[in-house]
Amino acid sequence: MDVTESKAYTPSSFQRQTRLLKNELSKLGISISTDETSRISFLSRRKYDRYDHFSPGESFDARLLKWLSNFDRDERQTALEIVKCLKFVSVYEIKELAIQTFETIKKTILSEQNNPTEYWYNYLRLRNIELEDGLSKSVFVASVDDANFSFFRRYASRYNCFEKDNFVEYYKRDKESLDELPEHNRIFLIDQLAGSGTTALRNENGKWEGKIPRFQEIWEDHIKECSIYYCPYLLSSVAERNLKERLDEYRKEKKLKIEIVPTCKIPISPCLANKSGTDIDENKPVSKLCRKYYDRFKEDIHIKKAGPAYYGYGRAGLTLILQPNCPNNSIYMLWHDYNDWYPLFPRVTHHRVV
Amino acid sequence: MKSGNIESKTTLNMHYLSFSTPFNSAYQNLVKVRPHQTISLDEPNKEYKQPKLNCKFSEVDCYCSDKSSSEIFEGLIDPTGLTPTLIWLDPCKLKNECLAYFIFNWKQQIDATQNVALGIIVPKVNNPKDSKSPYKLWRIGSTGPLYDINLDEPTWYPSLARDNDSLEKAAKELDPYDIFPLVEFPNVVIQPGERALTDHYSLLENYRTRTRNIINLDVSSPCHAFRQLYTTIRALPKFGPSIIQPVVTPGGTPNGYLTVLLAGVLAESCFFTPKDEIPMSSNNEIQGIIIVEKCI
Repeated sequence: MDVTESKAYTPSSFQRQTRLLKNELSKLGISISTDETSRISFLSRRKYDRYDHFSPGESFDARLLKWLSNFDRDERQTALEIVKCLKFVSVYEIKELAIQTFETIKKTILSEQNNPTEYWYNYLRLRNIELEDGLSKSVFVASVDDANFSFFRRYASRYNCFEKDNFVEYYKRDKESLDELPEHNRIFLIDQLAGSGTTALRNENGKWEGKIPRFQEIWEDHIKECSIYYCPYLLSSVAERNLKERLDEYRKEKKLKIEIVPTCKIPISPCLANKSGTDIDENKPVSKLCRKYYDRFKEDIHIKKAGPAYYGYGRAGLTLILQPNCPNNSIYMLWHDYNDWYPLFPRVTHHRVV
Repeated sequence: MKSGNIESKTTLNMHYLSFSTPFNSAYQNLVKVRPHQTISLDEPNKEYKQPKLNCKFSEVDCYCSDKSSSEIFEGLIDPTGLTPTLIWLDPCKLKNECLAYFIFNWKQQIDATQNVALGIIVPKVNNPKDSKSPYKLWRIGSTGPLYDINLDEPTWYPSLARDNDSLEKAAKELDPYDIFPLVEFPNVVIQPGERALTDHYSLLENYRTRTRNIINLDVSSPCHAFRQLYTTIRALPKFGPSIIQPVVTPGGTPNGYLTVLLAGVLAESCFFTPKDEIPMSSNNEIQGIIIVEKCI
């Protein structure tokens, strides 16, 4: 063995790690090229090992081998396809998403202006004045507790003048405290992820439920004559479709001006998607695996709200991992730990099940 | 007057507009650069199509033509600065070095009081193709690009949108002290699989590049991406014991490419690109305009 192989984080140790992982995968009956193994090793060192719910010293490689052992030998090759399609969003990247969300909000405000464009110099000056005015009359409200909202607020305040009350850390507040809000005509509801749109807005037996109706109920005295923008950092293609349909009905019924302004869109994972990427292909090997092991999963009261979660909550079909927690819209085999299933990225659920 | 790393009082303001914003002001010029976009006054370059803009068209000589003149803005602007001028630059058919030279001259020759902004047209093309020519280290000087540069410990800012083989060859040539990879993130659509990063695993592992070095450039907001890279390079110590010699390799989408090039030129870094690479070869469709202004 090369002397430098025994030291961590050297080029030789990377090659050694890749070689060892390939050998171990081969023992599990998986055939994989050195290039593909290198890619997995690279991401495990750079990203996956930093998942918030790994114990100190725990590595992705070790968890991967154990996770693959959940499956029958002839299914492990298929299970590895899920790993090849992972998208891990690090804390650093979540901060970038927060920045881009604010930049997207600025573009939204600018797109609603109608300045005379004959003379470029005046146009740029007016544009900046109106942007500042538009931002000062905006209220930014976190609709989730883990959207890096404090970072969002600090970034926004670095280049623009805001009052403290332009930012509201959580939408669930007592109605009296909302009297302190500054004069506003736009409200931006900030969210981290809309995986299926169910948590944001759903119709349960003719009654609207979710974050958006709850927000409307609490804030009703402060959103009259306001435009509301629901701004998830990440919007899945399934959530986009669902929310578009539901918001059309909701708007008509509640007479509310509300739009979706996503920062990034995330499609159904290629290991599950049909050729056009618009829906789940039930005949794909990974889809069959999802159905086969569903009896090991346990649907709680919250999961049931969006139907069977064969392909993740709300049938979102994601292979998305967020460093702070794996979303339940990702394939359930990645995160659940019911019935002795060993998860690759263990998830901490937001809802306490009694 | 600058001292050490203390910033001068002139600041740069950047705006990005979608191309649906037309201007009809007479106080704007589209500059065509000889010999790339036109061969001579009588002989146009048939491969180059002028973008449709309501403005005057002026032709200037590039450093690489025989009639090269460093005073390229003479006659194009109101010297009193009472009438703000917007000078359009179309990067189509321009070599990296010539494009950088034009931007550098704007920076050197134009005073903030003259109110002359630079408008760079961003074409809507797929990612510019990597040239197969060997990479060459250069920087812009008052007479044009300077190629004979020796850097003891270059710090490299390569765009990972370029192909890995060419970047690996370039890395062997440059032998960087450290690498700060430029990655276009977040994109409008996030694709699973992380190929943009894993395509370069051997480069990043061989040079022991730390993950925290990765610079995510939000190219859908070029103003933010520009500010991020420009302030980063400007903040590097250029004098004293901890001197850092930045070297930039732009790449990726037209937005990303032009933003990085602009930040590199204005922050006076070196470049490491294939010699005479022409990044934008078409302007059939235009997606936006980058406008840079000097302000006091």
